[in-house]
Amino acid sequence: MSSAMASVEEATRQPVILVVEDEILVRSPVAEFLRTAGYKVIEAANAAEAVAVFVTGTVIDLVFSDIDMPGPMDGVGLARWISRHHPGIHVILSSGISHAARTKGITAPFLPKPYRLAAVALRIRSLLEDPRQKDA
Amino acid sequence: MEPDILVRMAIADYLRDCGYKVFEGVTANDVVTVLGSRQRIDVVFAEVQLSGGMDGFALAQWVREEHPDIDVILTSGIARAAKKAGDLCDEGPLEKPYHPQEVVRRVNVLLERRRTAPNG
Repeated sequence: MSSAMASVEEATRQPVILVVEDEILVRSPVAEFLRTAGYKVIEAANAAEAVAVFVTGTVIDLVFSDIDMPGPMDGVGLARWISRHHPGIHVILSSGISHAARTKGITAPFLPKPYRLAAVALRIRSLLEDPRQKDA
Repeated sequence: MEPDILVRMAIADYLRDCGYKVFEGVTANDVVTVLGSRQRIDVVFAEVQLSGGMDGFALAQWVREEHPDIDVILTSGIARAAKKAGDLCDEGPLEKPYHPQEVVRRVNVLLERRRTAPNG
């Protein structure tokens, strides 16, 4: 494939969002809303599943992750792992409680719960459309 | 319900491409949670080997007792488990690795049977 064709394909590719959330009644509506908004969505129930998806080499443009999840790695740990292994990928973290102390030093934007689905989509769109916001 | 995300996302994507609305769950408890929220579910497709207090067999029995209007398809990569699943389900076990088209075929068979059932 020529580089021109590759760049056209990249420009027209459906953005891929990895939603990481252990509660199915929270994860499923967000994922469905984002699919309706035109994204390809992968659902992960914890950080380990999210890492497993990355390890397969699946293309991911943005990770929207809950912080409070069971298992050895929570959302903060996942954000750090992504920053280390896939530094070009956007991460948005979310939680029902403040994690200001723990998220210090993490550049991922924070969306407090409960959130409106439209607010999630808006935040994702603005990040994907303006890559400079990645480290904002 | 499928604990392996790479298997789950592949079959869930395939089913969505075929026009179905899909809930992706990891444990039997996810099914209980979704059904408790009064979401309409037609078919539960579940791996036998689920973590937590309820495996696929127990889930199938629970669904049959509590939600007799919902069909269950069990699958397993372990032959013995698949045979036991066959004893629980009408059409027999779905052994892994399965072809996604076979999942869709079974779902359609079950939906059609519900549609044409005398009391359905």
